[in-house]
Amino acid sequence: MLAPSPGLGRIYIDINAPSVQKIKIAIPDFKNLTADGRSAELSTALMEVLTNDLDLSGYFSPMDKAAFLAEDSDTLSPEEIRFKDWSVIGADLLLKGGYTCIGQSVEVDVRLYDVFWGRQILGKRYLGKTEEYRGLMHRIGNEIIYRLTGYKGIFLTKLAYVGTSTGKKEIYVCDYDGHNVQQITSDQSIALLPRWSPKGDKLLYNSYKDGAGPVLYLRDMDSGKTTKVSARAGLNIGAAWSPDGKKAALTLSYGDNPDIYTIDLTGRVINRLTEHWGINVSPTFSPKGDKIAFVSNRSGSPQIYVRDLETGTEQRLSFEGNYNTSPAWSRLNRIAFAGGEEGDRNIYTVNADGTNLRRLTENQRNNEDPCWSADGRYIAFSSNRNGAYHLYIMNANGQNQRKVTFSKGEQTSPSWSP
Amino acid sequence: MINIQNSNFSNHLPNSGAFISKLRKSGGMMRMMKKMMIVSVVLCFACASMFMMASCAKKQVRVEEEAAPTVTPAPEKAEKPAVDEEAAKRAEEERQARLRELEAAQKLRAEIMAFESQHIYFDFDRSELKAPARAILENKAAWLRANGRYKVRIEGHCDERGTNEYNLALGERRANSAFKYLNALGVSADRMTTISYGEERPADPGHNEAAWAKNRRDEFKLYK
Repeated sequence: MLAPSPGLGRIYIDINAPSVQKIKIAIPDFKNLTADGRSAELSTALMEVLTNDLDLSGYFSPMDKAAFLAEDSDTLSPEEIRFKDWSVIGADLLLKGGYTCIGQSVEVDVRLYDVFWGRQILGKRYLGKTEEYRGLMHRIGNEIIYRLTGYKGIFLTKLAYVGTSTGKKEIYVCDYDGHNVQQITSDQSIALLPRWSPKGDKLLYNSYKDGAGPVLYLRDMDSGKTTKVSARAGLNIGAAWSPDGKKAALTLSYGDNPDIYTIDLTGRVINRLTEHWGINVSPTFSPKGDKIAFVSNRSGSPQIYVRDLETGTEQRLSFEGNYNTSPAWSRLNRIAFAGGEEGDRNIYTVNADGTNLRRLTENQRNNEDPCWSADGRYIAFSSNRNGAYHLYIMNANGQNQRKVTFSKGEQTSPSWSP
Repeated sequence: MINIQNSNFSNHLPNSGAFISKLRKSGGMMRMMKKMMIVSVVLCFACASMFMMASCAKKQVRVEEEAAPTVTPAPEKAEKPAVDEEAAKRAEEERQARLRELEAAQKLRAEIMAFESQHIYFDFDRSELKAPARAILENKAAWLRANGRYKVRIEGHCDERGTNEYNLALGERRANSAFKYLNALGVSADRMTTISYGEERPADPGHNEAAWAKNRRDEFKLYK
């Protein structure tokens, strides 16, 4: 069902361009095609999930319903659609949907049209459980993104984060759009720094639940089983998965100084990667796994460094600002970090060789904890721009910054599942 | 008789109290301390009996008021005054002993509270001990040397600025700074543990320099 249909045709959106001209898309309420007319509320609900997905993608500008001219007839077929009515209000694309409820299931039929040519770009039928309609709509959204860009969408990904809605810091997981919040830990102490495995089947995180320092735990997301990975004296923090998912780099301080080591998933030390007096934290692997970026204060203030794991050479990456932390290395070879002078903190991206530094947030109070989507096209981060810290996502170029968590308390330290 | 001792007591105790507190303050000079400790121990013994009696005299009023109902049977046993006096004396001594224990416990509790409520503070992104922090640690070292049963857990904390990870490492360095200084002042390493809470447990939840200054700290928790 999700396999691309033959002849992808024209690529509507070049997502590799430095900045994307947003496509105007009209998405009317979905037609209820159920015989007895029940589940009428889905008409708006289905439309809203998809509209939000397309908005969050940063490639679309969903149009205001108030601008829509005429209600089309009850069928979805192109012969019945007056495309002039849609092009005159400025729509580039028109997405029409209908649904039929059958028992506990819902069948959703969507058609995507190029308004100018009056041509159907995509027509698909999806069946799923009615109560899981959000997931169903995310699948449809992914299909639309794939058809228009040639790349997979992110609408079925998840965010892990630290939330404080119980009054304690616990690990939570939610859909990338902030829905379906699930509390993962109930340690009632301090849980920190969740990190999805590259396959998305496991989480590494820290917790103080044993009363000692921050201990590293591994949770299997299917079984819910949690194992202790590293409980050495001092710090066992900030684990970063290697791209192959077989090991993790993290900061251990049992050797008196907080240095970066690699360990296997049973906690056995494989290598010591830094041996430099001072604080060495926050490792992140390059896409090939042959380098790490990390934070060290060896120059007097926290700065980002890159270490080549084969040659052992280290290079300082950040020079502007006196407090640069939280590097995150994307699959597309950009390094995001949080930085700044005294005062507000902002998200920056830079190439691994230090070129092409860009600031992505500005005058929006503090913006921290950047992490990449697996495809390297989006950044999730935490910001207190509206008071308390919540999670936001934005395109890799900083466009389209959107708040995605709405829970009580604060949400910080996101990690994005594949 | 009690009155006379009471006056002795009130002449001596404040002096010796001030003397002892002076001793505490002169933290660095260990040899001097030891000498003075011996002197003060001797003084304590010398004062002990006076102190007991005196404090009994002082406290008696209150104790009698509180204990009044249980003391009422006394007049009935007037027939055997000698035995009664012995028993009453013993009971009184026991009561005094309990009072002394109570006082000592209260004093210790106050000392522990003072110890635990006095934090040391750091500059932004720094883990070096400043002069006031060193002075506080010298007092703490003296107390720990004098109270060998107690161990201390040193907790390093940071303000909210910066990342959790960096701050966890910074908090650990702050705890280690205190650990090393106390160790240099004669507190053995096996009586101390450290833990970093990074920015996770602010003393002041505010988001300004006044709050941050209170949050860049080491706390000290005693345990046995």
